[in-house]
Amino acid sequence: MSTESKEILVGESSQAKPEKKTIVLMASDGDEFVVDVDDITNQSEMIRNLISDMGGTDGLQVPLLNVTAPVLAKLLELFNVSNKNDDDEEVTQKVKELMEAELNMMIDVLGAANYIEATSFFDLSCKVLADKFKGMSVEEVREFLNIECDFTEEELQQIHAENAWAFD
Amino acid sequence: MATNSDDAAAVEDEEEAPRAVPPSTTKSRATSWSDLLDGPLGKISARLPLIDYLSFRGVCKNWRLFPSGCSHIAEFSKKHPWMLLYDVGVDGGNTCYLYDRLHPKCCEMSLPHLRGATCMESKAGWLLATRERELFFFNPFSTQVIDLVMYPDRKSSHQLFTFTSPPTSPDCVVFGVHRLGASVVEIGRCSVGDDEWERVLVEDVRPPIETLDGIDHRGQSIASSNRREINHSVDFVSSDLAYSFSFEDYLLRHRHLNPARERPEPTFLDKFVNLHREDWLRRSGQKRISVSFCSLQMMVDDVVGLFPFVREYAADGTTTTDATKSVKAAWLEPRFPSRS
Repeated sequence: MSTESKEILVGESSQAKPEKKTIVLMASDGDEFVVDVDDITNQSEMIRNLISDMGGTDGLQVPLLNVTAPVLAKLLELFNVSNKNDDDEEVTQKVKELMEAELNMMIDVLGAANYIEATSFFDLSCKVLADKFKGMSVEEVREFLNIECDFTEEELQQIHAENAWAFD
Repeated sequence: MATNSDDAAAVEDEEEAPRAVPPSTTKSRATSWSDLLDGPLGKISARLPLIDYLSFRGVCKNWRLFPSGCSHIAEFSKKHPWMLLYDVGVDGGNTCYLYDRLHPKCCEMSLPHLRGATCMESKAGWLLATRERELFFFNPFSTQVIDLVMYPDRKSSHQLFTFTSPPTSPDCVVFGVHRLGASVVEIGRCSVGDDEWERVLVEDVRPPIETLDGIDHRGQSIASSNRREINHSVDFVSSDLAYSFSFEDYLLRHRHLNPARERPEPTFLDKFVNLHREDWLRRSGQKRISVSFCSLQMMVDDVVGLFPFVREYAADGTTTTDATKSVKAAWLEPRFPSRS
């Protein structure tokens, strides 16, 4: 999956527009992703600052030690959608699809977006999740996210009292 | 997802190679939704309506312990009205602050629907608010909005609105009273979903109406209220006179009030103001503020409701040259809408 994604991205950024500046993002497993400088700095504050600190993009390789190749591929795919559309509608839709189809992937994408400081994409993804949680009961949220209830008996009583306080 | 073996293996690898990765990186790759990083958790909880935030807190330990602007909400007492300071100008007017009479801390909420709006009446946890040519119900706990047809433009600032029951109830009727002159008053009635207001102009009102101090509908003041009565008549107060208009016979009656009995209990307000005044000044970023409180229909210390009023508060050492900022406040009955 990662190899496939890499080829697509390389094809889009370096072959179609060879005059464009690129940098290399390295996933935790060593896979390299060639990305367009404008496209990535448009999204990631961390990389924007890094380029500015390094004084240029020549031969720049950015190791993203806690982002796996599939996660990075998905994140770049979503950035691509975001960069191609002026409004957030399309990318919001894609994030929703990801949430419904691959919830586990979504949290890693969210974590990666937070890590590279892709602020607006991160905010948008959090909004998608918050909208999903609206109107859900505690049990529904737990089931949807496959979260185990890890409260002690005492804490559960406290929560029960809180719910009684709120909704009775 | 917890059973996904590939994922689990990947995590173990990371944990077993601490030298290869900086310590922060193993932590920042979340393996389960309960371990949601601080960043997403904060963003998500800040975007949830209060009642959903309360559910959110009950999901798991990590989520419960996560600090949020609303962490203190469950410590509030529901016996007395809360107060919402809104349209303060913080975060473009989106940020509102919710106060309890006894709790020293407030809850911070983002309510974009109240940006530029003015609340006119509060009941059962619902606000009736207006903004430019919009009239709408707003529930600050669920952020639900229910639109109402706008009252025709009246060149009068003397106006009061009230409603009989929550707008989600089919029995909900909204009343509006406009003072168009000392002896001219217009009474309007409308329900959610109506295309227009039913309006009655009453001229030659005696005794004349000098001010509009408060509004009420009969359901609150008559113990054995029947629904018919509630939906057909509205009361309003002008200093020591209480007028009552009935949509059954279209007559406006009045009676003299006993001022000692019907004035709201001052102790509740005094306690509230004393505890929170400093915070209101700080949040508003001003030395002197003028707070407009909207009216509330709720039993408070044996008194039915609070009429709208405006009060000025100033920080210590304020001089007369300091500008006064107008701030809006809405009382709220601490009643959350039931979940559908």
